[in-house]
Amino acid sequence: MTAVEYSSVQPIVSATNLVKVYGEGDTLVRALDGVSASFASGTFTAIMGPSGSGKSTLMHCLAGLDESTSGHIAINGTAVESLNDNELTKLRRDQIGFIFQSFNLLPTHTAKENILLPLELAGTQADQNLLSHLVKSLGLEGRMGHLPSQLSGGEQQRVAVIRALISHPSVVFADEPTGALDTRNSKHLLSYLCSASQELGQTIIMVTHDPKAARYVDRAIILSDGQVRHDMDEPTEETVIEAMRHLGGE
Amino acid sequence: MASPMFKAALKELKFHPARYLATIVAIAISVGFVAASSMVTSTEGTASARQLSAPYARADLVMTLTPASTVTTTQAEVREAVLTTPGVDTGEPLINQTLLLSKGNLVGLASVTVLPSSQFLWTELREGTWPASGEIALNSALAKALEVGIGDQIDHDDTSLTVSGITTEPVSTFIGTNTAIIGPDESPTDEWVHFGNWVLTLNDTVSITQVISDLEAAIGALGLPVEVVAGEDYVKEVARSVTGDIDTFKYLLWIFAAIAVVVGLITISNTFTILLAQRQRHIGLLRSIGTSGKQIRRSVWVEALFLGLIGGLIGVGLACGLTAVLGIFTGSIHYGIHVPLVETALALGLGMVITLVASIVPARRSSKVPPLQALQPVAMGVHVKRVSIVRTVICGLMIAAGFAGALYSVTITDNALLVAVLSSGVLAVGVLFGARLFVPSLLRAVGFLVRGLGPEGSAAAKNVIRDPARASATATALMLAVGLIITLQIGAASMSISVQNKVAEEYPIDLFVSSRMDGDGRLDLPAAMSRSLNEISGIGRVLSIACKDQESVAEGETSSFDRVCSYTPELAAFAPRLPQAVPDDQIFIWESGWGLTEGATVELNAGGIPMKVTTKFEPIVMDSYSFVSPKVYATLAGESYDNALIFMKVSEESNLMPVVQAVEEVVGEHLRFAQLDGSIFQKTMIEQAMDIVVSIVSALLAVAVLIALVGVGNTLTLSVIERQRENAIFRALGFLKRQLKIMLLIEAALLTLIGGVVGLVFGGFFGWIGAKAAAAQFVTDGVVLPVTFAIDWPMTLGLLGVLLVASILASLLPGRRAAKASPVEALAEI
Ligand SMILES: Nc1ncnc2c1ncn2[C@@H]1O[C@H](COP(=O)(O)OP(=O)(O)OP(=O)(O)O)[C@@H](O)[C@H]1O
Ligand SMILES: [Mg+2]
Repeated sequence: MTAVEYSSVQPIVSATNLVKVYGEGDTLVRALDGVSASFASGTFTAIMGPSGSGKSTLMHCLAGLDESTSGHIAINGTAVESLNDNELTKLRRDQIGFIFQSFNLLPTHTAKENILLPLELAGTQADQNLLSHLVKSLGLEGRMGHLPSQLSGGEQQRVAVIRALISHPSVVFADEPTGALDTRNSKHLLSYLCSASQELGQTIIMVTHDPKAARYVDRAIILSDGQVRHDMDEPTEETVIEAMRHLGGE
Repeated sequence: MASPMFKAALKELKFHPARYLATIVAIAISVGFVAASSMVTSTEGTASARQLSAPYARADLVMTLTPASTVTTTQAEVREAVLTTPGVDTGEPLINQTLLLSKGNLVGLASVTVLPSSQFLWTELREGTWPASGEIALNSALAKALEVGIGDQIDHDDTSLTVSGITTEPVSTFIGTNTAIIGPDESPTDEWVHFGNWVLTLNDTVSITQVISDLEAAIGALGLPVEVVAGEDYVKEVARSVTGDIDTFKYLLWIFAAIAVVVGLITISNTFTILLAQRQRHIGLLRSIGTSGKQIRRSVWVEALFLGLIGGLIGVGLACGLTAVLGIFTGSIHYGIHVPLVETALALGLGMVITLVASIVPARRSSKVPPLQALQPVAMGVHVKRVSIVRTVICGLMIAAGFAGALYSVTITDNALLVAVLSSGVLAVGVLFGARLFVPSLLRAVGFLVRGLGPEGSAAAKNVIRDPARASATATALMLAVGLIITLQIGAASMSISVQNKVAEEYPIDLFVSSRMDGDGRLDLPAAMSRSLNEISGIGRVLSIACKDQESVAEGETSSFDRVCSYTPELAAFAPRLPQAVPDDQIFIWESGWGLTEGATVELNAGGIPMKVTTKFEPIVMDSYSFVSPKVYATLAGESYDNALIFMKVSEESNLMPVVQAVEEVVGEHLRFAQLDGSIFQKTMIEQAMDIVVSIVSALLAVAVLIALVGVGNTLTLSVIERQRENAIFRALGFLKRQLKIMLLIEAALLTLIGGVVGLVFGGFFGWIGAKAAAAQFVTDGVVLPVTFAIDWPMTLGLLGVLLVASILASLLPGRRAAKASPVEALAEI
């Protein structure tokens, strides 16, 4: 808690000296090696870096899906490491939205049921205006009664986006949301997330290794070997590629 | 055989042992049941034979005298004839009878032998001494049953015997008799001689065949039918007869084992279907790098045989353990455990065969999947495969025909049982194979109800119907097992109630006290008794009946009606069937009592004035009591006994034991005069007999239910493995661990409920049809026993309760597994 009080504008998500160690002895891997970062409200951040740099690990720790070995994480002022499993689950349910790379949706639930599940779990009602706005702006009218197996990959991802946004979470985490999509669908999804952050003030933290994504985000954090190497505001595709190229030489 | 496919099969077993757990359990139980049936019967049979033949094991010859009441030969004459036969060294009777021994109110049945000379003594003393005159040695189980030790007195009829020793002989379940040895002079009356088998030893002077023919001639000359055999042949014969009895029992057990095997087959086949569905990508990969469909099938078969072997070996181990435990319990372990090698090997082979058979269809199906299709991203969607039309039509026809046949069987009396059994069989097969047609709809309907239970409920409702074939197969196994138990229970309960109704028809009075016959005729019951009986709670009504002794003339011949009693208006209230009154010109007599027909004229003695009445069959208590109207009764001559009979009606039919005990206590105080009787005794006897049969058979069928429940747990466990990613998404979105567990619990409960309830409904129908048809076999005087549909509620509800609890247990392991998986691990790309 004390760590949070230093900053004047309280960040939605903050990580301090995060370490995550996998395995032991010969097989020991420091997937995160002292990562500190904070994410302000309403910002759209990309976490980038080469394969194996610790992007997914960082996201899983920040989202309370995985435990860090040491360090401190706060979401909206709550110290994540002090929570037990049930409290953590409720934190995810109430404060966090998720978009995964693939297999985002429950195959037995229709698109609409998938979207409403987190709200149902929290026992709250859906904001109908927001729902119809999201459905319309993502071009999913008439698709709500379909099972995931009856939707295309792009449509499935868009359903997952609505599910992540519908409950006004404090932060949305996305792990390579465009990984399984073609260029056109990728562009569409990224620009939508960008507008969601600007128009709805939604905080979004997205893991990606696609430099083209840089154009849509407010900030890019570049990881390598479990450490933050660059932290740039208003990145462009070129600056990101440039930063990535220099990683190997260091 | 050390092909790559074989290695692949073994790798599957090695890396995912948990996936095979349920299958191995199912195989182990099935094989264990079959093997245990052989081992237990063989062990117990051997023990029985050894125990029964032990007394003859030391005899060179055994001579059996056939009892004939007309024979007057004495024991001494027989002994004389035996000992003078050339070649006979010694010979003596092994005098043996089965007697009821008692100590206070403890009783025990025992095969009692008179102490033979020491060379023929087959058992040993654990403590004490061999009995002298007036003494008895008991085996320890009998001593325990009678709660006596050395020096205590026990009784047989009027004789009192002192316990002198305890023998080492065990009791064995099958003959189940305890044994005792009494002193040498203990009344070896001539009456006993005919029951004795003689044991003889020979000196080798004459050939054994010669001795046998000489003996037969000598004893035959005394006028006694006799049979002489060599000692070892006698022992073999005993063993053979015991084995014959026990084999019948073994075949019965095998029927139940077969049911368990069928249920096991369904469960195992279901497992293979799920396992192979999960391995579809893996198989596709193998296919695309050049593995043939045949090789895939072979590898599945190898896997099945291997599983069958492991499960079977565990089953045989379990059977050995069970046999040993039972042997300790019955004492048969004294004679060692007997494992019939061929039958055990067959049971083991059966385990492998059923596993192989169960894997054939799933293996064919999965090896036919084209490589490309198998490699496509796992189709996690809901399976909506159509049921084939052929199946729909055939099952539909079978159900319709079976149902019609079953209903038809109710209307006929000739061959009703045959028609009922055949049509029930057709209906059952139709229902079981057609489960795919209706189980998904039922699950959907019930699932609709649990949606109200929140997100867990609605997720569970969706999960159970995502693969209708799998859900149906799981429920079918349970349906079969539960259906059989319920068929039995409802059939038995309906039969029992119907027979009880018939008893009530014939013996309308619940309980009654009558006065005992004395040297001077019957006496009156004490008036106090009626009052004491009235005070017992649970006895609703008490009535004293007045009777007079009568010597009456019927159809011109003097005959004794013994007692003629007054049929008062209150009497009619004791049973619904009783008429309001006896017409003044009639007498109610026991059916065909005194050899009289209905409508015969009887002259009663009314103080010298003949009083004519006609007979009517109206059984009330017993044949020595007849009833006339109070008006007629008043005119009759003879001393009146006001308390000749006391009638009682219990106020509540349930929980009769304490009431009967209280009544027995009151009557017991006057046992010299009074005798207690009534339909309650017959009813409880029928009920108890039925209960015992139902309990034993239910216990045997419970094994099948157990396997079916293992199947439910198995389906869930495998589903959890398959739905790992989904469960991770649930967790990421905010499902608590508890909610995930509840979801699986509801799934288990839904599957169990559908299987159980369908089994219950059809089992109930079969039970009722069966009882009806069985009753049609017992036609008395052209009247079929009317069958009342009855459910043994405590048992039926108990079974449903057990199923629900078991389904909760079945969901525990998969639930734990699902909840334990960390979301990150589960979300990881394969
Ligand atoms: N469960 C695990 N056990 C051991 N090591 C792991 C585990 N998960 C990740 N790692 C290691 O931690 C490091 C970081 O992994 P992480 O998945 O975070 O990388 P990433 O940046 O997401 O890579 P990619 O772009 O390929 O997805 C890698 O070296 C990886 O091998
Ligand atoms: Mg990653």
